[in-house]
Amino acid sequence: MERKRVLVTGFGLVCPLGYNSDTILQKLSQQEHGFMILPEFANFKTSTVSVGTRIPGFSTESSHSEDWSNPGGRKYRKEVLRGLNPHVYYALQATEEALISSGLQREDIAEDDSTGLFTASAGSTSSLYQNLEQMHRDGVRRTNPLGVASSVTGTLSYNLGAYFKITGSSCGFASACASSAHALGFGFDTIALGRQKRILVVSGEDGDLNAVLPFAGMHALSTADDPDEASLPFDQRRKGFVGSGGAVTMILEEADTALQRGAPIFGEVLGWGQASDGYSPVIPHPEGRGILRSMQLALASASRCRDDIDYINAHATGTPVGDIAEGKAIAELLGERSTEVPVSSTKALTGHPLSMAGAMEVVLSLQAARAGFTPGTANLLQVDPKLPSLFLPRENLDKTPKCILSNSSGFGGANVSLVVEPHA
Amino acid sequence: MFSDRLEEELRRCPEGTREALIAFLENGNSSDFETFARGILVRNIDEDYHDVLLSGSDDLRFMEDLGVDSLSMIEIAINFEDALGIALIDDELKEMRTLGEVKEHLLKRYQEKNSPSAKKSKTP
Repeated sequence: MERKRVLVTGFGLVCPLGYNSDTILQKLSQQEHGFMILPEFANFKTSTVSVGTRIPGFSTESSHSEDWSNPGGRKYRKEVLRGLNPHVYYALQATEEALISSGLQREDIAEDDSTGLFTASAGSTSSLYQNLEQMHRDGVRRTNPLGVASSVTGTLSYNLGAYFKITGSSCGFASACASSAHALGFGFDTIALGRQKRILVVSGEDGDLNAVLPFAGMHALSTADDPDEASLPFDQRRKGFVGSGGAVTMILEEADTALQRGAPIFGEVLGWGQASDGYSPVIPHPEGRGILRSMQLALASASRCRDDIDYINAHATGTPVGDIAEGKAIAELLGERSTEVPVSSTKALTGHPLSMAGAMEVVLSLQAARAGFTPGTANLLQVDPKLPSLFLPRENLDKTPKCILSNSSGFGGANVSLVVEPHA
Repeated sequence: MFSDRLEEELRRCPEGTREALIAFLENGNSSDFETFARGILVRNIDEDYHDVLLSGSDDLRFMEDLGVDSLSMIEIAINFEDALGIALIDDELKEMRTLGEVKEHLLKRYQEKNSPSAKKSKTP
């Protein structure tokens, strides 16, 4: 059976850089980051972490979701609000924006058996903490009836599936920071195999104290106290990542379906690959064994070779071990081209939004390419000498990449690479 | 006077709900109960149904007329239990369909709890 082509026909992104595509693109092009000192981080007992992110335009601090607000002033019914946590709230906005960008109405996807929903999030630790605290304090009969559905991994699927009346495929992915890349990959497969005509890939993370600060326990977070120098992928001054959050929605659509309705085409997913390290629950394989193989498999899936790659959006979060391991794998993949193919990490601007990194970075890469530039790694002043020789531009390059490889890696040594082609 | 949780809920009810609850607990007046009960319901149903509730009769059906599903019903029951110091039985609640049936049941439970025999049985 001939493989169907899979197009990107819409996206919405809510992240520390902003909540609409124009603002986010502007910040990406001007290399403006979204970091700030967060008093709740800095003042937390024994914390050495002070820099984090907030989502512009949103207020989700209250423990009652009915108090929350969003920049679009969208109102939600009580039965919708009661099951939400911050990242599902962000994802509602991202998905509404994605539908608008795609020229779709909610009615077009509602109860349409050919439209599916693939999601990725780690769940809401804040919501879980709040609900369990209530259960321990007040007893099981006084526990929030939506406590489970608003907290656990899968909460995005439960809430969005009901809200947008999804009747096609629906499932979630839990490979930590590779989750949304997995959702994209399997979304690609599902359409390529002709099982669905359209998949909404949605990912979100709360990005708040309870989601981010636990990573300080493994000394994985940046301890910088200057937001301008907190996220430093590939830089020898790096001390860890800056945790962030938000939500991203991508609309993948089978090519004939998209063309028939005259959908806007932002890009095409050409293929993907995945491979695991088989090494440690949390530490990447030091030579990047899994990520190398996932990149090789992705290129094979896309019927491309290393000579075709114009840009690699690296996972590179700014942790000492991870950046080196990925750098070694990229150098081995590129061989003699390793000093000419631009490699960068947009996490220098966005921070690391955990499960949503993969889909967000595909969106950012496509946006940059459509605007005619290749993203650099902001603030990369002192390339770590332990890295192999790579082309790691600090500033954005005035060059439009035509074939983009985007990497994501997660706990358990899960690695995913996606090959995408931007459309003008 | 009330638990923090109930105070928070009452704060989000229409004005006068908390005062009506206090008055009802002091004097058992049925009009205060009516005000308090409708206040709790307004807080727990969607805005689209507020007018129906406030202008409607005791024959209003929770699911069909007020958009209350089984999960909302649990939240409503928790509010009434906290406010009146009673325990509602799930099986009984499931059988009740209308506003009037629920109000009647709440009053019955409250009166049972406050009957002389109930109070006596709790005396050590």
